[in-house]
Amino acid sequence: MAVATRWPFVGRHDELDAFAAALADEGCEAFCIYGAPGVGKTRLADECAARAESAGRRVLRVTADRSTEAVPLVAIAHLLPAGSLAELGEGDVKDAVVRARLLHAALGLLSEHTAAAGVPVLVLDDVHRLDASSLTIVDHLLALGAVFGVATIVTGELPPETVTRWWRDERAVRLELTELDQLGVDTLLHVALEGPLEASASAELWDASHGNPLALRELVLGALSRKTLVRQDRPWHLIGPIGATARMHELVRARIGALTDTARAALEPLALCGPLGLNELEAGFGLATLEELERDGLISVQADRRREVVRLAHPMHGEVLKEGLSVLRSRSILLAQANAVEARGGRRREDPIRIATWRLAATGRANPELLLRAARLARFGGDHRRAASLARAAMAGQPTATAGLVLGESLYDLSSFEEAEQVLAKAVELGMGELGMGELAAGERAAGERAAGDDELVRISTVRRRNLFWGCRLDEEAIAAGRTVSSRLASAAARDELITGEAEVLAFGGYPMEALALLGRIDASPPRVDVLSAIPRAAALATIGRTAEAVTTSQRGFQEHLALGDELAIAPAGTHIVNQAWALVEAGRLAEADELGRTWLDRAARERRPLGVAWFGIHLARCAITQGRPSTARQLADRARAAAEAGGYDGLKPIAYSLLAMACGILGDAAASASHALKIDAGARGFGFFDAELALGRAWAMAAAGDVPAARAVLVAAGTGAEQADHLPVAAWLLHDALRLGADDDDVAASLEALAAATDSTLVAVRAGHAAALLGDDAERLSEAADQFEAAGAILLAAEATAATADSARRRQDQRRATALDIRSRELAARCEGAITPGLRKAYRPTPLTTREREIARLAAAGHPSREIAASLFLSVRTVDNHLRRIYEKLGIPGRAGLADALNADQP
Amino acid sequence: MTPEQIDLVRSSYASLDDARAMASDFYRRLYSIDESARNLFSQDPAVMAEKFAAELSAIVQAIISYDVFSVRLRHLAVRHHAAGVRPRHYRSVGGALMQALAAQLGSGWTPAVESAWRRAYNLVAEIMIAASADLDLRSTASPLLRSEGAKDTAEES
Repeated sequence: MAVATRWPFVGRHDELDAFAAALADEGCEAFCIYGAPGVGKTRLADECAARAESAGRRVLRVTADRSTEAVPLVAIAHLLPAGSLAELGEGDVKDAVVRARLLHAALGLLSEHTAAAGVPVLVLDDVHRLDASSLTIVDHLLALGAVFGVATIVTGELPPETVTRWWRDERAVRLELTELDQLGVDTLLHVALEGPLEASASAELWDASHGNPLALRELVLGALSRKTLVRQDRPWHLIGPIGATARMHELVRARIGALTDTARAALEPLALCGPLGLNELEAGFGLATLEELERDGLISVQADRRREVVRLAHPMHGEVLKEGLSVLRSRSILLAQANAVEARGGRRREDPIRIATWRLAATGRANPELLLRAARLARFGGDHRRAASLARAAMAGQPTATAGLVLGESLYDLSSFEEAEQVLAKAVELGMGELGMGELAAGERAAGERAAGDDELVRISTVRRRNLFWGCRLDEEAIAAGRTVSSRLASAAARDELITGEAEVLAFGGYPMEALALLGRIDASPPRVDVLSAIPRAAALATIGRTAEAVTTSQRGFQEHLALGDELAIAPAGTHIVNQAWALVEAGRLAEADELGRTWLDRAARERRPLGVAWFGIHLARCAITQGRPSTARQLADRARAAAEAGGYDGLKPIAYSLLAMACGILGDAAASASHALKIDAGARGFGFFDAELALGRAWAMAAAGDVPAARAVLVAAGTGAEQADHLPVAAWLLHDALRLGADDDDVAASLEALAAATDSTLVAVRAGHAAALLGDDAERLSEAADQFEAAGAILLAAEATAATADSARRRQDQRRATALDIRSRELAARCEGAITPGLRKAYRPTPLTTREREIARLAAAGHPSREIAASLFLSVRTVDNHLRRIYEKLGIPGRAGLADALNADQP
Repeated sequence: MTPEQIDLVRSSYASLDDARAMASDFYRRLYSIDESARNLFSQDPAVMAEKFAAELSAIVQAIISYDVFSVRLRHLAVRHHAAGVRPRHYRSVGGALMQALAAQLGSGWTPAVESAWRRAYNLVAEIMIAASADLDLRSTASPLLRSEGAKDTAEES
């Protein structure tokens, strides 16, 4: 098992310090650890004992459990010399004489265990279970200072008076041990599993355990043995529900078994229905019962907007409770709750979802309208699984176009693309049928009916088109899908909406100009159409290099999207952010792109949305490569690939593989690069707007393998093609990379110049300037380009440009400047996570100092003036100065001042 | 830690212009938080800053591979323990390090970066404290005495 052999002990350092202080305190007799079950009291007690041992104390244990509870004094028999218990016979510890004799015997034994460091430490686990006689003796031993006690007591059960008085009478320290916080859980998991966890697994384990160490351990061990928690190709992640182990069930059952019937009955609706209002529960079960449950740590009460809400303290308990309920009992509880919410008016936002879900769970049926309303709410809340199951039930009960739409969209969100297409095709049929289109011509229908019917048909077509393009990867069918409906529509707004759908397919299919032209035909623009058109518009603008407009379009689109509220047939709002990140990368606004991308990537990971992880991962990887962080880019591209795999988004895999190939190529890992490059074309078709870029992966794989001329050819061909297709920033990227691999074609420079003029991207402009400078061997402009790359955050490009400037200086015999630039280039390259590119390999060629030069340099660095050096080496001062001048040149420094540092840096 | 957080720690550390300056700043802050820490380190401050920056860099690079990472930390913990470092020092070190990083990174010290570093430091500290605790345990000779029926661990020491 890939887990540390002993479950780690983390985060309890304050508690250990408190123990050490208590132990050292002469007036203190014991250290009492209180806490809920599973919070780690026994483990803490053990660690305290270990500390005491390392401080030189002896440690003794008294374990109270069911077997010793029944028989007096058995638990502490080992604290007494052999035979003393037998001597006592039937004596009662309440008798002072008997007690005195027992104590005397115990004290004798204990004094043998008293070390120089102090009296022994007595660990009293579950001391509240200790039989009364043993407890009396222990109490006296503590009071006499013969032992120092470390006791654990579970909260929720009333301990014996004796134990409570230890801390009430200030004879002992009371410590309340609480659950671990999120930081503690995170560290614990990382150490226990010996490696990082993906955000979603971490979040799920936190949610399920709430920081209870025992629950956490059980959950992890259970998931490991069931192989739902795995570390394969990726860091630890969950491939199924966590579930509870048999042991957990036992523990929970034991805990719940100890409750009164009323108390247990109060937990049942919480287990079946989730959080419920305090007032309603109180009406059903009484405040006293609820208070008892809260004290026992089984429920928690929190304020939620304007009312108080009760929930199970440990979600895992819910699972166990549900299992223990019979079908009939579950059904009656669910129906009772549904009726109760309905009776109160069902006005709260989530009420329809709750009522529908409970009725469905209870009887398998519910009112179709209610189901549909609930499905829409669920979808808006992001719960696609629930939306799908509610919509499916609605569709089964009463097939309508609307039900088909809600179901189809939810299925799309869940990546069930084939089923979604079937449902949506049916929905179109139903929609056309509902309007009686076969019988009446468009003009004859009543205006209101027409508008509503149109809208619905449009929405269904839009989702169907989206599913065909993004999901099923059937581009032609996607374009066709809208057209059949379009000719039957009456309203302009409805036709406009279909236009946005077609524009989307064109924009992401790689036809930006066509997309923009189509969008130009929209005149009416209700808010919904505005938001919808922002998606293809921003994408098209980014593709052709009107990046500033693309950014503002996507920003506005996002804001307006949020203002829309609950809408069907619309992509998630994050789509605009993806476009924004993309546009920022194209613009060369790399730091902004990185910041935005990371925030949203983290959010998508936390909310378990693989599509978001894939998209943001891809654009962050593109950004990272441009910045010269190939190792980071590799990880990001791999995450994107894994997310695309997990979510079934095959269309995103080609670009992910291309980025992987590129990153590995830049890192010099030829084998990995080649392997990824092969997969670019192996699976489903990628999206058209990424097509040209795929050449980058292929080319860098070739370059890493040593076939640089072939790589160049691929890039130039792809770049020219991209330029013709109006994919301008990408064309610049391709052509510039060709240049970096040694292309010295004036046409390339000219193209880049033209591209810079046609786009507003600063990065494209710098690439063009660099190209011109390189081919014209213009050292000043090269230097400028290097600075501009650095300012934009493209460090690898800056390093390569600096190396080129160094070469130029060398060609002009300016050795000193060349060396200084080489050093600078190396510094920049050092920030590039191990990148090795042809542009860098030319960089540092050290010109070694001769033995004589080294000798002189050392003396000069130590502070000796030329006169002294000349004297000690039997040379003329002039010779020494000449040597020094050559030395400064070779080391690239202006004079003596930098000599010491330069010599240190020069050491191999 | 999540892979993203490990990434953030690495990239933010790599983006430091002058790691040695950060290290010197760290020591200054540590001593102002905890005077007693001064006694733990007897070398030349410039050398200490250099070593600290180098070690931190190595640790940051190693996080992603747990075996390498934990072995490195265990060795480090042994040396620290011998020099007199105790669990309570790790808290002051953590505080001083966060401050020094925040000061050097400036606007680069975003909430996400801070959260990632806190996780990283907590992980490092816990592993090192656990390793030091092992040292303490191994040094004691007396066996644990338990009640009848429980395992006798005397043979294990």
